[in-house]
Amino acid sequence: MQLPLKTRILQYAIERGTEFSLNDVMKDLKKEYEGERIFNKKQIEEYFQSFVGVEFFTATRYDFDADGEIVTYCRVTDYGRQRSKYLPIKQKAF
Amino acid sequence: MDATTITPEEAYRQKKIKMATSGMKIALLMPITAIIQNIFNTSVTGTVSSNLSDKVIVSVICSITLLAMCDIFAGIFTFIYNVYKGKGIKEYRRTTHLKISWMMLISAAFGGPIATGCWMAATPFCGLTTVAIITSLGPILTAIISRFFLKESLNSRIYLGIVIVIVGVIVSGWSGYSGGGSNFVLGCILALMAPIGFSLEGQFSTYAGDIIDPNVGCGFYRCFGSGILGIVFMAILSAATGNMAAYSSIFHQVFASPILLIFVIAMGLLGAINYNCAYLAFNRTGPSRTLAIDSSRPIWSIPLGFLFAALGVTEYSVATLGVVGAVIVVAGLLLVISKPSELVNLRNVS
Repeated sequence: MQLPLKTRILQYAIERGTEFSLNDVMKDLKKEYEGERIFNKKQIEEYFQSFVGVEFFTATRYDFDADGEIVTYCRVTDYGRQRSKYLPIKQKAF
Repeated sequence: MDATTITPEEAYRQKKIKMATSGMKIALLMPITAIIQNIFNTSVTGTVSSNLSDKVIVSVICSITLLAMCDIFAGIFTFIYNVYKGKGIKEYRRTTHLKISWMMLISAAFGGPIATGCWMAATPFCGLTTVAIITSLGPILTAIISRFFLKESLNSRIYLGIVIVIVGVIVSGWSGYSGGGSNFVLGCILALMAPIGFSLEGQFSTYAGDIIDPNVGCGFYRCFGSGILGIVFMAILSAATGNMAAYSSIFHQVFASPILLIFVIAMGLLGAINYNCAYLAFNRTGPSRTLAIDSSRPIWSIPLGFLFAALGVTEYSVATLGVVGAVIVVAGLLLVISKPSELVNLRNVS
């Protein structure tokens, strides 16, 4: 069953376990949502930030890219991981 | 962003605060759309119910059925918006296949037919003033429940702000003691179901919205789901109480009159904006702050009332207590929304 994009990002974070950035999400999930208008950087960043806002993700480190935009590296928190009971999870998929 | 004047840590912090602040700005659209929707609703309900029996049960059936029709139109408008944003049928289907998303339907039932129905049914039993006071308790109930259920991060200043907002709402709506009604205790219990229903709607929709897109969930469950529940429940209630003729008449009147239909569609559009703002704001800034901002209706009702009166849509005047209440609400609201730096931690999970 294909998950809604926002849910898939949480599943990705839980399965990955280690830190990741927005660019990792874009790169690793691109094939699954190929050709869909929902799969764009603005929308994915909104979902990503919303997970950060509710403390599902926490920043591990941050940096600026060449354009002066902040690049945040995150990992899932224990609080976020608690919601895995609602998701099909395969540990360490990446 | 200027990398030479700001550290990455500070930029990250500001981004978090910006997201939560955007939720508060979105929440500001809720009281405004609710007031305008209420103007249309009063007009439509008044016209339709004038052709029906004046029994309380028929009034309840009429109001909830019209709101349910409005919810269906809100679902259509939300779907159009979501398609525009790339969240079409595919994303709706993926969302409904996820069991946790159905929590939003439970939430919609609490906030829609249950809370609204109990609210309206309570008035003849315990009087308008008692109902108004009890139903205004929603934000404080939300803050208490949310602290435990969602671990929402709130402090004493925000609690005080919410209490002041509630006092302002009660003062602005005060119309004197309205008597005890025919069964005071039953009326109070029914009235209490409204703030409990709205609080539970906030909790459950935020919990589900943490995982799914709030606008997709809102469009399917809060709009279509609540609309269908309302229409089905009212059909059952009408059949059980022998009021099927009145129930059919509501649909006949709306679809036979272009003006009434346009007003119901307008209510649907305003409902779509209202519900989607609520679900998005719940997720971005938390249900307690969102419902406190939504309670600021006494402030916005004054300029909007005068505006619509000037346009000839409705009659409007404001009493001294209405202005005093609005001023109190402003003071409470300032306490709730001040200090955006606190928004960096919406939930106490550490």
